[in-house]
Amino acid sequence: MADGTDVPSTSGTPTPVAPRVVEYDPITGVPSEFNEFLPPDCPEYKKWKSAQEGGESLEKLTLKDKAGADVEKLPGGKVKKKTKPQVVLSVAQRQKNKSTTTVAGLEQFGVKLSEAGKLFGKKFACGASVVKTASGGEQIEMQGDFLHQIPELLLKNYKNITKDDIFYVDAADGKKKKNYFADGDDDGDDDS
Amino acid sequence: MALFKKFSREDVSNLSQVKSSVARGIRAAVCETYPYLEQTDVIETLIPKKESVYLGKCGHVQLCVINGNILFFQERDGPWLPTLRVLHQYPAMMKRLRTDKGAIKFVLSGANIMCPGLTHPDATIHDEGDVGTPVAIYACGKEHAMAVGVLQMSTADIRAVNKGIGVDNLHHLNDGLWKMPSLN
Repeated sequence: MADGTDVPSTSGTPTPVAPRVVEYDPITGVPSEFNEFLPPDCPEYKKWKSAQEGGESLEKLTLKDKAGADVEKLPGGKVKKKTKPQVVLSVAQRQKNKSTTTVAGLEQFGVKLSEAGKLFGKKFACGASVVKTASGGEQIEMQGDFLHQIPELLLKNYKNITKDDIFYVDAADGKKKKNYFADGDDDGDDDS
Repeated sequence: MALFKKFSREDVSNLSQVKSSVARGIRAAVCETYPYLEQTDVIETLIPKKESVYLGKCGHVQLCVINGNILFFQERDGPWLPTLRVLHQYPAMMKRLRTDKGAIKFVLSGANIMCPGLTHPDATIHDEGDVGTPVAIYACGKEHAMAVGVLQMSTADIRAVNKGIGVDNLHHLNDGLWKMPSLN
């Protein structure tokens, strides 16, 4: 191994070395000398830049941040898809003229899925369970078709869910519509 | 290519405590790659014998987590590399390469370090190394390391050929891994 330029030869007993305490810039989190070199599209750089320019622009920036908070989620720059909290209901077919209703997105409203599942099962006298989706999220699956009863139940029991938050998947191409007022074509998420 | 370009808690698919034999294996591998840590007994502060070592898995990258802090990471079966926060505390642990100023903003966006950035008159190759050696990347006029990478060409080749990728940039300031120093 080619080595030995910097490191002194050991005499046997290790000599303790204290860790260097490095001060990171309070705004950007990196050593201050690198502040100006950060990629301009990352939030730390923007914060630092506006702090440089003075108080006014700082206020403007905080407003933008709040609105943009939905958009930017992942560190490292990539924009994650907008997580507008929605409850998505869908019905799938099963054997023998039976169907299953799936309720997804409840956890974004602070609803405990296990409790909600139990509630649905009790109310509609059906089997209801919490299943994991391919992407890692969880949804409630119920045995039977309850597409039209669920919105009422959700609105009645969970005060923080409003009519605008409930969507259902309709037709083979998975178009989402608002549940009340059949023609409210809101944009649903797309998966890219 | 930047390893941790997009990286968040959800990308860590599995965080589990490892057997002490595995922990000893990691400790030994780290000591072998960075003899400085052993000579100064820093390895004992970083990976104490008593503490339990957790291994986080994200794709083909493994993270060595102790007391909730991510200290080292490993790509596939490559060398264990320290996170920049650890490197800042013990700068002498790794070989150093210093690029010129113009390269800084590219490196901080995840670009690999090209040979001309190291043969530039402002750049210095402080320590020699062969292919596969982990190195710390500094910038001309700056005190602290800005990136951690692995040599793609030996330092002799870098000077001779002066074309192509010299160092693979695996971890840099303000990337996903930097922004997440600890895992619950």
